[in-house]
Formats: sequence, C-alpha cells, structure tokens
Amino acid sequence: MIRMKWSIACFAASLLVLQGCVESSDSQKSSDDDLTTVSDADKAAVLRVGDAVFSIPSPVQTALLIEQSGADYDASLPNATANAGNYISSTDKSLAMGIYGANLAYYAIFDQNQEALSCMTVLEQLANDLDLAGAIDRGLIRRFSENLGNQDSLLVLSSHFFRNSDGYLKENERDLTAALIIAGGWVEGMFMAVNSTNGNGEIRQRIAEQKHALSGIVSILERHGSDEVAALITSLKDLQALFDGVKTTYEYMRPEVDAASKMTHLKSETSYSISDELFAQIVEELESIRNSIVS
Amino acid sequence: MRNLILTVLLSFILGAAFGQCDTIASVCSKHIGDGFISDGQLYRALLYEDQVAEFNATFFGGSTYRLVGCSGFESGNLIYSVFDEKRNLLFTNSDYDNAPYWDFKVESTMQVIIEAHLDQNKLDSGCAVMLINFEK
Repeated sequence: MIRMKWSIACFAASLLVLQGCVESSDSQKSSDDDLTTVSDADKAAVLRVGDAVFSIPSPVQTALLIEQSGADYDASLPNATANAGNYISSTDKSLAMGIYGANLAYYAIFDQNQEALSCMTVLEQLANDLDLAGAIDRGLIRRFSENLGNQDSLLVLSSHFFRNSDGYLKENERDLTAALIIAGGWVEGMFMAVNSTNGNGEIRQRIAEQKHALSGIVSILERHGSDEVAALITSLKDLQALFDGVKTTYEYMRPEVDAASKMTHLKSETSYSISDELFAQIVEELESIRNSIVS
Repeated sequence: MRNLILTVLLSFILGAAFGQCDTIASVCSKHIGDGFISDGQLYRALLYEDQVAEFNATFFGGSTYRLVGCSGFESGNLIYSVFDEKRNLLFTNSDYDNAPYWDFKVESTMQVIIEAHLDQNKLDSGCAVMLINFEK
C-alpha cells in the first residue's frame, strides 16, 4: 500500500483536479475513470512527497492543567501586550502570535476578561501584520467582547481563530509561519506551567510528558526552517537533548469500547520518570528560550 | 514563458484542490460538538486511491479527545485508525460504519499514530481533513 504522510501533495493535487474536481455530487465513486490514467511513475512521485505531521498539544490544555493544579493566577507570567510593538520581523511576529495565544488561554481560564480582550486585540493586529486577514472572521473582536465572562465561549473563539489561521497558512504554503506560531505557543505554555506551580505535583509529570511533542516541534521547524530560525532550532534541540533523559515505559492494555456512546477507553499505561536535577535543567533551558523570544 | 505558464497553472490547481479542504473542514467541524475545544490545528491531506495519511499525537492521561475525520461533503467517506506506539490497533472507525467522529477517554498519557485513507467504495480521491479536539 502506498503510504503518504500528511503534507502538501502537489502531484496528488493535480491528479485530483484533472480527475474532475474530485467528488461527484452524491459522494459516490466517480464513474469518470477515463479522465486520468495514473501510471506507476506518477504514484512513485507521490511517494516522495511529504513527511510526518505532529499534533502539538494545545496551550489551552496546558492552561487548564495549571488551573486544575490549584495554582493561583499570576499576572507577572504572561508576556505584556505592550511588548507587541517590539516584534518586527515575520519570524518574531509569528512566535509572538503563539506566545500571546497561550497567554490568551491563561487569561480566559483565570477569568481575566479585560486582559483577555487586550490580548485578543494584539493577536488580531499580529495576524493582520502576518497577512492572515483572510483567516480572521470579521467581527471576531466584537464577538469576543460580547462573550467576556463566558470562559467556554472565549476558549472556543480563540481555538477557532488559531485553527483557521493554521489552515490558511498551510493552504498558502506558509508552513514555517504555522510552525513558529505552534512553537511559540508551546514554549509559553510550558513556561507558565513550570512557573505557576514551581514544578510541583501533576505539572511536573505533564512537563515530562512533553518529550514527544518537543520532538515534533523540532521536526516541523527543521523541515520548514530557514537561517532565520537556526538559533531557535539549536536551542530547542538543546532542550530536546535534556528531554531525552526522561525515562519512559509503556504497557499495552486492551481498549474497551462503548459503541453506543461512540467512546473508546484507552487503558494502556505509560510512565515517565524525571530526576530533580534533570527537571531543573529543563526549566532553566525552557526559560532561556522563552526569554530570548519575548525580549 | 513556458515555465511561467506551468507555475501559474500549478498554483491554480493547488489552490482549487486545497480550496475544497476549507469547505470540508467547515463541514467536519460540525461534529466537534459542545464541550470540546479544538487543538487549534487543521490536519489535512490530498489523498488519491489507496494513499494513507499519517500523523503522530500525544493523548494526555485524564483527558477525553474527540477525533473527527471527513472527506467529501458527506459523512463516512474517510476511514481512520488509531495505533499505539507499538503499532497495536486501538480503534478503527471502519468497525462502526466509518463513523465521522469518535471519543477517546485516555487513562494514561500515550503516543498515538493516526492513519487515514479514503473509503474507495465511496471516493477515489479527495481532501481528507482530521480535527483533534479535547474535552474541557
């Protein structure tokens, strides 16, 4: 079986369109099989396209973990919105968009409504600066304002904003910008997590569990990166080297399915082990990377 | 001149092909449902015949995730399967009439591999969209 990993499949795209704009109206298999003949050579070309795609945990999840850990709101943690004007290059703006996205989730979860609104305004401006206007719903800020105080709505609106931006960037082959936004959000989420709780309790475990997510970020940046992000990649690789010291074990357990409620219970067990010394090193490196981004 | 024409043509073709992804993503997002929040990313691939799209994800312990998969403008065109890091099959929606969404309650944080391909009885080619959402 041909195996193609998620990516921009240029050749497949041309085949799709040549075949007759893809689907018939009733979604049944097209009868227009004679429109295009795919040779073995064509299929081989498809095989060369694409790399693995990684899902990076949402900063919203990280903010929720901070709240669930019992940590209090700390106004000193998020990057000040006043700093937004300091980011000039598209690389800096992209990273800042990720940073402020994580801050927005933090504000929303701790019901800091005015700060959330200011943050959303900065995000809209950064998106405009990055030519993402096509991805932004008109009236987003207005709807955001109307929903201040409704935590769930704010989180849904901000998640839609980032998903639309991500889709728009990928559609326009701006994968590096998309990757930098994700990287910025991940770094800021981790930064706030370790500083909210001093690495105690569940957060410490959650940090250790980011080992694979970081590998994904490094892979995405390396794939799409340019000289402009070489220093960031190097720093993240240093952090990755530290994460390699996190010990993991995995034991498969048979899942249980409840078909009526369309739910599968995944019961496999994974353990993560991280020493005090290694955790401290990770925190130090993480803070260094974060501060180099926001400064 | 010829290269320019080819470039313009390819851009047009790609734009048209990916343009359908946005529409499909919009249709697909209707399955997210109340109480779930998008992870902020859009996963898509243009698939042809038996091609398989694959991506890696971390499911955090104590969370419930909703995977939504679509291709075309009706439900059930996309088959997706979830494997653990040792390639044990954890779930495939082909066992459940190609259900467009499924929830996963996660006991312990784990790495998963998600594979998606078209149900060739329904579609020869198309944009496959997957969305990962978590329960608040």
